[in-house]
Amino acid sequence: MSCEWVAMIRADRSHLVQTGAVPDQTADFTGLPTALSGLDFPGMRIRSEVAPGDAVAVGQVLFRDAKRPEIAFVSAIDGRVAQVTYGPRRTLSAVVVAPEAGLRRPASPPASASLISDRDPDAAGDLRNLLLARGLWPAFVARPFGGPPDPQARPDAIVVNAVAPSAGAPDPAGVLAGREADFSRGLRALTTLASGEVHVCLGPGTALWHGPIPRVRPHRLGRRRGWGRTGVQIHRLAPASLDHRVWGISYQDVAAIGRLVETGVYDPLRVVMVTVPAHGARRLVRVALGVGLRPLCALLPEAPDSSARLLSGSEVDGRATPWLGRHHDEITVLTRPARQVAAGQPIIPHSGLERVFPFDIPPVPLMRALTIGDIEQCQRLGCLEVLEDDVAGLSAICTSGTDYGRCLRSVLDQIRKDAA
Amino acid sequence: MNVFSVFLTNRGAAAVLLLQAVALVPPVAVTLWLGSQRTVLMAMAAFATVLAWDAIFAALRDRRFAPSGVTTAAIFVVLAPADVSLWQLAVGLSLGTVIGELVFGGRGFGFLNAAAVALALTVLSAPGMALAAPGSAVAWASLPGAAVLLGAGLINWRVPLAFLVVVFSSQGGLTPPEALSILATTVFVLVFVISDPTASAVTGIGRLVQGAVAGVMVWALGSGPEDALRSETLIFAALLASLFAPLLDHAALTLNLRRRAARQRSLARIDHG
Repeated sequence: MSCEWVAMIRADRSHLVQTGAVPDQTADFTGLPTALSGLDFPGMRIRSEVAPGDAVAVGQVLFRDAKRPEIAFVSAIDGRVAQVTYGPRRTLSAVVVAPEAGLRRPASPPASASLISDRDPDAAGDLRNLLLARGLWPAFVARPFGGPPDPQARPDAIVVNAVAPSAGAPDPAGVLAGREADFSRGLRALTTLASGEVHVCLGPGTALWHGPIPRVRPHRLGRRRGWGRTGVQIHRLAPASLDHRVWGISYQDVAAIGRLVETGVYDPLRVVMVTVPAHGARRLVRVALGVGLRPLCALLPEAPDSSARLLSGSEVDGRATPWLGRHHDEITVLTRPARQVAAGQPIIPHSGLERVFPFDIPPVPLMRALTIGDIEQCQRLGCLEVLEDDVAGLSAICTSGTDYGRCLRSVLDQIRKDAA
Repeated sequence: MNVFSVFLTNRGAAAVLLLQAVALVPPVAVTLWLGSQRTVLMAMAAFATVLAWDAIFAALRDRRFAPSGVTTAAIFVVLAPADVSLWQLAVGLSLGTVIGELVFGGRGFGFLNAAAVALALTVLSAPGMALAAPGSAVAWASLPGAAVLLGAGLINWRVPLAFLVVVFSSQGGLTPPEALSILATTVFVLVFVISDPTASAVTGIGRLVQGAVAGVMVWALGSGPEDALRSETLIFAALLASLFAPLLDHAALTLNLRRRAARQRSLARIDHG
C-alpha cells in the first residue's frame, strides 16, 4: 500500500511543481496539538490571558505582547491549554494547546460586515484593529528587526510572497484555487495599511486575482534563483533599513485576512507540504498553525520511525523544533543524523555559501562580522535586511558550525536598542 | 550540486582538508615516482615536520589535533628545490606553517597559504637556490584534483581565469602549443596555491582582481618571458596576491555598498516620487 502511494506521489510530484496541487488531494489533519513558539517571535515578552487547563476556542486570545498589548495571539484549535512555558526574562517559549473532543465551543465573535472601502478614511484604522484583535497581526514580519510590526506603524512597502520558496513547498496557485476572491480582498486590505505599494511576487503563469488592483504591483519571477524567500524578495524589491520599513507576509495569510474581513471568521488552517527526501515522497496536508510535527507525521502513511528528524522548513534551512513555524509551509523528514561540527572551526569560503544566501551581500564578510559581533560592520553590510530564516542556510552549510541566526539576533537587538 | 559539494555541505573543516588532500595525492605520487630516494626522504621529513607543529599547537591550545599541514607538506614536496638540505627544509616548513597558519589559529583563520610562505622563506634563505619546476606529468596529475576542488566549490573559477587571461595577454601573441606549455608550467601552483580558498579574496570582484594581480606580479617579478614562469616567480606572485586579498575585498565591498545605496535611493524616489 505504501509503495503504491509513494509511486503516486512521485507521479504527482512533477504535476505539482509545474501546475499546482489539486485541492482535493490535500488531506485535512485536525485534532492535533498546536503551539505558539517563541522561535517565531524572538525576545518577545508576553502577558498570558490563559492558564494551563483552561478551555479555549479557535480564535480565542491566548496572550498578548507585553510591550504592545494591542497585538493579540490566538489559538488555532479548540482545546485545552496544555502548557505555558517561558524562556529567559519571561519571554515566550511555547504556549501549547491540546485538542479535546467534546468541548462545548464558546460562541464565536459576531461576523463583521465587509470593512474595506478605498474611499473610507477610517477603514485603515478599523482594519488594523480587526487584525490586531483577531490574531492576524503576527502574520506580518517586520523588517528590520523581525517579529510582528508596531501596531501604529505604516510601512513603506508590503511584500506578499506568492511563490513556492523551494521544491518542497506547496504551489500557491493550487492552494489558492477557489479562493481568489479572498486573496484579492486581502490585497486590497493591505493597500490601506502601507504608505507605499504592495508588491506581490508570483510564479510564472499564475494569475491569483483578476483585474488590476490600485497600489498592488505584481512581479513575475520566472526561474530566478533564490527569489522564493520573502527575505530575498524584499532585498531586491524594497530593501529595508532603519528609515525604510517593509513588512513581509505569505499568500495564505493574505487569503486568511481577506476571509476575516468578509466573513469575520478566523481561518487557522494552512496548506503545508511534508517531504521525505530520502524516499522522494511528498504529501500535501492542511493543518492548523503551529501544529505539532511528530503527532502529524505519525498519522502519515510513510510514518517515520521516532528516530527521524523533523524540520519545520526546508531541508537546508529548516528548524528542528517540535512545532510548525508560524511562517513555514513545508515540513522535512530527515533520516540522516544531525550534522556534528566540533567547536572552534574556521570559516572556509566555498561556493555553497553563495548558493544558500542569494542576497546581493557577500556572505563571508557578513558571517565574519556576525561571528565577532562587529555591530558597525554588520550594519554597513546590511544585516538590517536579513532575519534568522535568511541566514539559517549559512548556519547549516558553513564549515564553522556557527549559529548565525543567534549571532544575528543579538546584533539586531543591540542595533534596535541603540536606535531607540 | 554534485557529489563533492554535497559531501562538503554536511561537514566541517575536516572535510575541506580531506578533499584538498585527496586532490593533492596524484601530483605528490607522480613527484615521488619520478624522483629519487632523496625525494622520498624529503617527503618524510616534510610530513613529519608539519605534523609535529600541528600536534604542538593542538596541545598548546588544548584543541583536537587537525593534520592541516599535510597539504602544506604535499605542495612543498612537489616544489622543493632538489638541492635543499633536510634541515633547511625543516626550518623553512616550520616557519611556513607556524607563521603562515598556526599563529592565526590554524588553517582557515589566517589569510596566507602556508606552503607559499614556506617555499618563499626557503628560497630567500638560500640565495641561488631554485625551486623545482613541475613537469608535464605533475601538470596532468593536477587536473583531477582541480576538477574535484572546482566541483566542491573550494576553488572559485574567477581566480585562475583572471590569472590566465593576464598571463596570456602579457606574453603577446601566443600559439596554442605555447599557451599549453604555459598552462602546464603554472597549473599546479595555480590550482593549489594561488586559488587556495583560505588565502583568497571572498568577493567576486576581489577574486577577479586577485587573479589579475597574481598575473601582473608574475610579469613584473620575472626578468623576462622565459623567466616569468619559474616556480619562484609563481610562488612570490601568489604570496603577494594573497597579501592584497583583504584590501581587494574591502574595495569590492565598498563598491557593492555604494551600488546598493544608490539603488535604494532610486527605489525610494520611485515609491514616493
